[in-house]
Amino acid sequence: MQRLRAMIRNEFLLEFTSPISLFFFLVLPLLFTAAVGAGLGGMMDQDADTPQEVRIPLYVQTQDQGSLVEALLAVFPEANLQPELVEVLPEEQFGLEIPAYFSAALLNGDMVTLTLHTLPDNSSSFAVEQAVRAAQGRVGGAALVAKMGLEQARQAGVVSTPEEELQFFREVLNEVLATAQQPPATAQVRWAEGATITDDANAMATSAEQASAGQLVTWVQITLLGAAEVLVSERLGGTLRRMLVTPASRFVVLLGKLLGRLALGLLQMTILLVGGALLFGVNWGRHPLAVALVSLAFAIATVSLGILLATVVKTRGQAGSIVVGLSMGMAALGGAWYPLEITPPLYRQVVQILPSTWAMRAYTDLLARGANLVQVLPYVGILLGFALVFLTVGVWRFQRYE
Amino acid sequence: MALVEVNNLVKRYTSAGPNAVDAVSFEIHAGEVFSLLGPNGAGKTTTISMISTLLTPTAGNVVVDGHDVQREPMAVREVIGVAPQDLALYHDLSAEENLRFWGEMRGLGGAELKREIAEKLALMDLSDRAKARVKTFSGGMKRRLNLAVGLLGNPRLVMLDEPTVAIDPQSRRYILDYVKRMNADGATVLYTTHYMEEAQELSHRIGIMDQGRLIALGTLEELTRQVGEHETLVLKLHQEGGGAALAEALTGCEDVFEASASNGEVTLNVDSAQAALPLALAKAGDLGLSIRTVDIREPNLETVFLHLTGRALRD
Repeated sequence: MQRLRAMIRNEFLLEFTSPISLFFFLVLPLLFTAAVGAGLGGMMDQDADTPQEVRIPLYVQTQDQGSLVEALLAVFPEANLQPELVEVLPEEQFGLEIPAYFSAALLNGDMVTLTLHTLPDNSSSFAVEQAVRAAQGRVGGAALVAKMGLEQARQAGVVSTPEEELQFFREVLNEVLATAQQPPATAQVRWAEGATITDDANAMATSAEQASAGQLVTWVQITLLGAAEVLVSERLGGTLRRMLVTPASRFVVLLGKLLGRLALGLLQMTILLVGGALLFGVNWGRHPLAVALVSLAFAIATVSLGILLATVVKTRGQAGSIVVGLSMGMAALGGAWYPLEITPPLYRQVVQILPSTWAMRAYTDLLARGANLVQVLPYVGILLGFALVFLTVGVWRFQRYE
Repeated sequence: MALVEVNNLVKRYTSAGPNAVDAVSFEIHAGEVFSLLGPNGAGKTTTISMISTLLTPTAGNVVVDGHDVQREPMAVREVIGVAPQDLALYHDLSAEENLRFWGEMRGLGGAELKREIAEKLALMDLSDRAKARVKTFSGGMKRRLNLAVGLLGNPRLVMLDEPTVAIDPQSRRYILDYVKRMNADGATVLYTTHYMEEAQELSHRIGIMDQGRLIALGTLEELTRQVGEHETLVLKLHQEGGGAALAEALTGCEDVFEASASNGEVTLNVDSAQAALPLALAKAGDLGLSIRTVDIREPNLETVFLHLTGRALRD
């Protein structure tokens, strides 16, 4: 225990021997959080307190004048889409074609095909597609409920004429849609300093949330993967060999190096979490334990990768380049620099091989979707799985180091 | 009683490569200074690394204070202190911070650690630089601190691997005197060097290594006796490039047992320097070479090494 404590303290002493270290450890991450938050603000929202206020124009061409089209268009604004009925869809804009059989098909529970014109190079394409799917599903579900209600009403003799039936259907439909908009258990709830909790699986983080979580993942990765650089320096400088002839086992030496870096990473995480909340108004959710658990699991996975890298790279130069390159690459690919929700499905499948992806998904669920401890446990499990694989290989290679 | 027993020790880094250490055996008795002397690449550091549990032997075994290095490495590490050839220090930390860290790694703490730090700083004449960062130290000061770290906890066996490489004469003198004092206080020392003067001055017994093998072992007297009653005649030439030709010309001549050339000097192992000198001067004249200085030396470790390998120790 004394040796582990000594190694952790030594890691801190070495990290903060120069003011430059402090600049990279603390000041730069906070500056980047502010800068990236401001940059993303233009793309995602105008005000951190009013998430998703930017509405994307969606031109709608419909051959169906039925009531369900009206209901569908009414739902779009809630999904940040601004629908506009047109005769002909304009070029290079988001456009939606609604077929003549739309209302009838939904009422009969049949499949209906909507044609959505998206823009391949536009980052909002995925969000628009998701919003249209969600709106269609919501209206379709409400229509089915209304239809079932109408059947009951017919049998009970509440309605008799087609006009009464249509009137009844519309009322039930609107009632269902209104109720679905604010369901008791999943309603948008304002709590602690105006943060929003929603069960919407497609909800995206605000710019401040995205920047804060993304920059945390980016910079903490540099610190934690830095375990590779530190271990290589110790190996080349002879201090690692000196440690290995003290009465400390190889396991204790490796654990000490790992815990030292981990402690540094956790300190940086805490500063960035608190900094995000105090400086940029990010609310990390109602479940601090969940945030802590995700952060800890991500830190363990990343520092384990750092240990593994240390057993592979040969020189300080290699280690430095790989640490920075890998940190930036994994952060960018894993959704730390832009929301994963705007990326194509195949991309999202591929980047699941990165710990950063799972960390960002967990943070987004915590920040934008109000996830609780139980809901982030799968992410924690996956991150710890990464750690187990990295550490197993790293320890195996380290034990053979001469 | 042997504190260290090295039995048929072999180290081969790659299966197809040569043995870096080849069937080396020796003992180090408690309370003695034992030196491993040899040129760079002789296998001294590899040997010391196996004794200190850092490297796993390919074959053979080492027992330190009754503990086998492979089966009980932790027990061995409790007994030993190592000052490696590299300056294994944290150059961004102060001398005191370095000593505190390495002391804690040895299991020292509290008042005992404080006392140890103060004592080692004083012994190495570094007390006034305790708070200064190591990177501001001279090479000699770094070497002294490197040695101090290896002495923390007063280990029974101290292993010093080329502790005087690349330092000023004053620091070198300081270290040699300290090794003698430490030994007088009861510590057993394993000392590696390629400086024969250091081995001669410090050692109770000396093992001479070359190309991974232990080629001679004994006290200074025992080793020089191997050369017989020979003397060493060193001729320094005006023409630096002429040494090899003169050595070749003298090889095989009567009374010349060995002849080697290096850096414009010709070293002859002869029965009588007085008798050999006229012959050497004549051969030099034949080759058009002129002698700048003549030095006659008693047999020493250099002579022994030359006698055993046919090469000068410094080659």
